[in-house]
Amino acid sequence: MKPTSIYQAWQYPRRSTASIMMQVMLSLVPGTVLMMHWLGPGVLINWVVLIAASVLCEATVMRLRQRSIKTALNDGSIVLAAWLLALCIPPSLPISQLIVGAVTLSVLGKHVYGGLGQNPFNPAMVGYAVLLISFPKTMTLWFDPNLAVSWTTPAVWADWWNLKWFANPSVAPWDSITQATPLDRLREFRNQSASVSINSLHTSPWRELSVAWLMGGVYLLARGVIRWHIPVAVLTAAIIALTVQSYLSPNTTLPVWSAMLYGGMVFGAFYVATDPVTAPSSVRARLLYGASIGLLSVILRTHSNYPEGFAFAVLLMNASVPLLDRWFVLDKRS
Amino acid sequence: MALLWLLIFAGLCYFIGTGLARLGNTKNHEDILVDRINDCLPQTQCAQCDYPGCRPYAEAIAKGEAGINQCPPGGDNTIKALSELLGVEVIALNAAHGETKSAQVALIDEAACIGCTLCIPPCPVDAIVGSGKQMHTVIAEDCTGCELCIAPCPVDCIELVPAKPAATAWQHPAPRQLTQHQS
Amino acid sequence: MSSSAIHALPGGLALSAPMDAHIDATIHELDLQPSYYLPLINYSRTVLHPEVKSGDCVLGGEQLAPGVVAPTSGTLTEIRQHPWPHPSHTQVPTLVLESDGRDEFQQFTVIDHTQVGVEEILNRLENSAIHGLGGAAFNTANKIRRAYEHKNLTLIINAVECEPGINCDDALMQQHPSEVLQACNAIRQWLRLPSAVLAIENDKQTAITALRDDQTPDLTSIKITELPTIYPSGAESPLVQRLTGIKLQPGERATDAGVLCLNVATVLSIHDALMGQAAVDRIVSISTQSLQHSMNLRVRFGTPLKAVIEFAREHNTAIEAAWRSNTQTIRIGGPLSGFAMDMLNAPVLASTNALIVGKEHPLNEATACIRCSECATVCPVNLLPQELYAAAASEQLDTAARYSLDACLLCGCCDLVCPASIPLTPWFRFAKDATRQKQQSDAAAEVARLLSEKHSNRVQRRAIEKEQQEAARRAAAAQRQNSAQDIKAALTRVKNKRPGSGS
Repeated sequence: MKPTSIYQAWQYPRRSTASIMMQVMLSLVPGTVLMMHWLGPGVLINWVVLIAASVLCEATVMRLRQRSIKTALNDGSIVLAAWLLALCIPPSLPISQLIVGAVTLSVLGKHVYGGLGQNPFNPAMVGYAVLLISFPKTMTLWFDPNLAVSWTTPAVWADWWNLKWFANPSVAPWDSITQATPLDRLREFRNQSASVSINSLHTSPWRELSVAWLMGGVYLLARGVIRWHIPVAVLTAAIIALTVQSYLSPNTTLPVWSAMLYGGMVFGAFYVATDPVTAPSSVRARLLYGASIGLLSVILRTHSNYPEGFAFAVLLMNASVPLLDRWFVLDKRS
Repeated sequence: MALLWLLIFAGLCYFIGTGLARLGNTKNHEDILVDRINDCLPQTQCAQCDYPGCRPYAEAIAKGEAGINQCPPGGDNTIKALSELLGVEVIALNAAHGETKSAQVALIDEAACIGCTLCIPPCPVDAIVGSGKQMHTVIAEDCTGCELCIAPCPVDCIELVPAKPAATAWQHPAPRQLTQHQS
Repeated sequence: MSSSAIHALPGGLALSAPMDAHIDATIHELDLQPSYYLPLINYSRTVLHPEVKSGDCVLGGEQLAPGVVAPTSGTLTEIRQHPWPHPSHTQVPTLVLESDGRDEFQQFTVIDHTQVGVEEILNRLENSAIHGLGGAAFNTANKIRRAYEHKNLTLIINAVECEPGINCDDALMQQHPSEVLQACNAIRQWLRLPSAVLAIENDKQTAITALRDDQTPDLTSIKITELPTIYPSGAESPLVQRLTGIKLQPGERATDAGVLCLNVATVLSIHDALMGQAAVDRIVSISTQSLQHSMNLRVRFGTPLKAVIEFAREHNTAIEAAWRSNTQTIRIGGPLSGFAMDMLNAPVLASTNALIVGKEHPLNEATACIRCSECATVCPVNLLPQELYAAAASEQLDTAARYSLDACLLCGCCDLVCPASIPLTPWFRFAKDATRQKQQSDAAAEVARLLSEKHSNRVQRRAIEKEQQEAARRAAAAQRQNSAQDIKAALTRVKNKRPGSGS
């Protein structure tokens, strides 16, 4: 006889994979809306194009692999991954590059390893890393949020349209308003050995967005969707590393709290590092994993060519998850 | 001077290494390989592989004379274990040698046995007891079900029966139909 | 032991019966049945050899095979293939006992534990076929024998009964509190222990009150300890961990660590056996699938399940309704640990603690594991079920063993929380069985290898000996020939000399 159960009759409240993904997406809504509000229609275009392209790509791959398309799309994992990627890229990124990102995320991030649950690397971060390395210019180009936000002027929409389709920011008369993120500016300061003042960095809306991600993360913790170990480890390790750094070179570093809020650290700690598929399973391994991500991302932020090191920190630690899992197999028992 | 030290060091390494190697194993590599191959085989000693027993077959595999798919009692599991050990492809069992059956033991119909002792020498594990003009019997725990005693019996009083009752042999099945996304 | 001394369980689930459950704690008695079916197989699926033959007349309590006693007096009509309460749905050789209606029992002496040694007590338990009534049906005498070797023995009486839908021990304690305490005290005395712990979950307040009310001053050595209601606190290794703080290693039993856990109903049947009464029945809980209605019934071993269900249907309208809406399948055991059974002429055995009447559902199709580790969080023995699953599904039994498959209790907590509805416990059952079969066949192969080595060495030695004998014979023959020639030559010499001497 096949195994059977009476769970249904007995109504144990089980949470499905789809409902977990829905909870995460729900917690992303406020931050995403704020980001669209502050950074303009480009974010919305990114969001729509990335999700649509990723879902389409996922369906095609499942078709080619002769698996059920419906089950693959129903769990919402691909939408979530595309959504996360959409929140990491600049609003001005051309649509062609967005599609490259979507295909990378779905095919290279997931299906070459056997689909959901089998991928060793976080798909959103694989997409991000490939985009950043392939298109370094467009991927580091951010507009001044104070100028690019008008949603109602048709001319601005037309400019966005040109920008997104023709991949050339000079088509639009926006050259003058390109602006770096606070971390980009910070790096410039550092390279020039100039001392840093917060006022010279355009901190809005990064600080506000980080608060939104933090609140979303707290919501997920409260609902039991994620566990505290990884985010707390990431944030603690990052704070410690930044504190040490600010003592070592006080002139070229930001105050610790500002440094925490201006980059992708909070977002990454709650939404990227906690991806269960690519994180280790046992508690101690998770703490070590989180702490290493926090530390590595501060190191990469300071010493690499990129202003933010979170994606690479996560990918590096993803690669060491099998090792961590092996080390800590018996940690719960002893 | 440095070169001299290097040579001395290399020489030391060589002597210590070879010495340890000699101390460490008294068997040569071929024997170790044969042992490990033999461990993968079911030890039925049935000779269906065309070799007189499991160890001779293991020796033949080690020399590259025999394929890994000649053992019907071991079946797919043995082929899988051998392919992992030797790093070769998994291939289907060679049907010329027989087909995989569930574990069985020989049973002598004691009323029909004439006590001829013809079945005793072929038994590769000495699982048949009896002497001339006396009834013979099979020690069921030791019998491997190799069938080598069947042919010599002049009165056909030996048959093979399942080694374990159905309830004992039963295993919880793998719930594979519920987890098809895995395969 | 105060409640602060209870160690935390690393996982488990707070499962409780529905709030408005109607549990009938009266213990109904089932009438004598026309026939009883006694499978000749034990809990580890070893076939037993009967000590009687068909046609024999036996008395109740008489031993029929190792670990099998007659539940009443009557005639053994035959030994035939018959279903037994096991998920394999196989048939096994079964003794059929036709009751003679007189229900006479063999007379046993009362064993006074102050007068006799432990060995005699254990022999009595062996002969009375006392098995654990908690669900696993271990041989109780063996269990006590293993534990008795320890210097610092701890005795835990397990009345936790943590799985919803099982309340036979609850009913027993509510109805017979003083007998339970007396029996616990008696076993404590003959094990020469200063005290014993009776562990009970705190949702059984009626039973706790009944026990406390009957706890006379001479019974205070039995310490009633309340545990929070968390499944599976009643399984042996979590229970030992909660009460003593000892973490059992994979494959280690409580008795190896000097802790003897005995189910409360088992303690009572041990006591009965020592008092010279045959212990041939157990209490079975019968519930509806929603676990809202439940009743308890004293049933002799060997009674067909059908008779139990019929009695329950007659006496409980909710069970009758559940039966009618159902496909003639019942569940043996609890909602998590049990299995579906449709062969209703299978008998009740020591392990049959509960029956659930209701519709079984096929399990949901599983989706991909997202490694959320929810299963690891609820695992009461700290395993990583997601890793075990990956190993089991790819049939890597060595890897599964490295993740301590051995320690898995098969409690089913992980199945319940898995967001991908992966049938984890069915996979672990499969892997455990496959591992056991592999170990058995490896051991058999090793025996066969040694035997065949002996055989071929002997054949070789014989061949060499034969050759040597042959060579020796040839040598002897040659020598004989040589010496014959020598004699001839000598004779010739002599012959030649003689005439020469004359000439």
